[in-house]
Amino acid sequence: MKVIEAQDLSYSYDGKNEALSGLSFAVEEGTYCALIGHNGSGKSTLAKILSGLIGGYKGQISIFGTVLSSKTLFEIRPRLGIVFQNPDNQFVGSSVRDDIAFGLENHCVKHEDMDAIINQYATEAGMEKSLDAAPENLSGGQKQRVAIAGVLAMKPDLLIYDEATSMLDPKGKKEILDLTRKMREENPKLTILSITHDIEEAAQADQVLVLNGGHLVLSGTPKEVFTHVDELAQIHLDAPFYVNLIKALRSKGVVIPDDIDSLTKLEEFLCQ
Amino acid sequence: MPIDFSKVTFVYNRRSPFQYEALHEVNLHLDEGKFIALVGRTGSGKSTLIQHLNALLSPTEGDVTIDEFVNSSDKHKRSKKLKDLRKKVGLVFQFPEYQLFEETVEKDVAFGPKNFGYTKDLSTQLAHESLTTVGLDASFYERSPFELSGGEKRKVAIAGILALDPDILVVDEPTAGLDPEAARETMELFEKIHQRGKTIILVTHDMNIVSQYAEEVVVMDNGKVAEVGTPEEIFSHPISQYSLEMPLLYETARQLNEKGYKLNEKKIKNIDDLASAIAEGRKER
Repeated sequence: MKVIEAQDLSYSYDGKNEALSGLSFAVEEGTYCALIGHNGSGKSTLAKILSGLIGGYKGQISIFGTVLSSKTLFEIRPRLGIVFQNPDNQFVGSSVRDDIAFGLENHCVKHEDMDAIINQYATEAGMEKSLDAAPENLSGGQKQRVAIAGVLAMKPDLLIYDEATSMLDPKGKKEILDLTRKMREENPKLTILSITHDIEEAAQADQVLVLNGGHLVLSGTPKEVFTHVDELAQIHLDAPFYVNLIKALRSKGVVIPDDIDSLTKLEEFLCQ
Repeated sequence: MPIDFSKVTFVYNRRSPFQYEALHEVNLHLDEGKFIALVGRTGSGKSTLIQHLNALLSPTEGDVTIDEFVNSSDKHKRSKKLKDLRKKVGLVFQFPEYQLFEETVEKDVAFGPKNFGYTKDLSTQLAHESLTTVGLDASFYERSPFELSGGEKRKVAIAGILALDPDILVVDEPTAGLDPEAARETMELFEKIHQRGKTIILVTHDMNIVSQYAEEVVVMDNGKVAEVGTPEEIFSHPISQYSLEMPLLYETARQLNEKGYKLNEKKIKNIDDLASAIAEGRKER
């Protein structure tokens, strides 16, 4: 099943310049899809359209097979969770416990069930010791983990990360990516759209979409996308480290087979 | 202007149930004119430390000495005109673009100098100079900062700090949320300012940036300075206990060495060096 299907999607903020032009793509259920591109490439515009924050676009977008419109938005939204980049813009509670509870309250979860759910996701996000902490006493990374715990507690079918890990330190980031992986194992139908600047994260996704100037310029598996090193460089995007290392090694005369698609595989090959 | 921290302890919300010690007896000497990276996990005390540099925070115990300024826990020792320190030490917060507020780019950048009592003309002139430094030309002067892209907004915000021509520039996670190209431009900008003899103190989680730009690395852990050294020194041994990720360059070299290669990490500065070393290593195998 296609969780997201965009057909010829265009959007303009001012009626003159197109922030998105003629986008068509599909994301299958259970996919980890990384969306990469410049600042100003249209990534965040797309995220806003998907979450129903802006309307008035041309073309059509379907989520869970339902065409997104002002009428269907409220059917779709409960199944969709978004985590934004800046934790300060999404912390609504006066404590960690309250913040996670906020979403549950909106979803009419019974009070007696709430504590267990809050504890479960706070523990998964590594915030169980800070349940009573106030947001001003948390660091940015901690706040973001609370935000992610709050969204995951909604058990969404589609999770959108709008650069959700860009403010976290490597350990915090790894914890979130591990947590996300665990969620996907427990719920193989969970679809994730991760808007990210982290090329190494994108290299580990199932599907990569590359936006530039509102156009979809590349899409496919990481291996397919990252073979286009020169095209990526033209739009000022880096290739993953392993791709650059293979290129550098080949220029020194080392023969590397074409089927190597990760740093681990490259290291294994070099040590044969 | 060298910077000296002497037994600096800082406690948030002292004598309240939320009391929290963010810095514990920190001793640190930073030389003038260096490009310094301040690293450590979230909550290790980096942000608290840098806020002592321009007296946004004063120590609970101990002294911070910068040039003739003393930021001390002791009110009698503390410099009278401590706020003048803010002309010398420019602090660029995380997501500085959220602090833009004026109608035009020019006015926003000129706000700092005007606030320090410079004339309108001089402030505008300083604004133009610092906008040139960050790479924004005259076509930006009359535009609203709010209609710019994220990368451009950040440049405007940085220009606002540079307008006061600080000797020490402290930047907190300047590349967070920028795409790789904008991140590189931002780092090149700091490198350019460093070349003019200014001290740069960069707070970052990105060890790849640290290995590329920093001359000295200060590792914070649990409110203390855990290590100080050059990037090669810091990355020549495991750093995972500080929740830091080895730059991929050094991590790859380390992995290969574990499996029998003999790559000299201290001679590897970039991906080409690594590729050459591996190519050499393969001949010997």
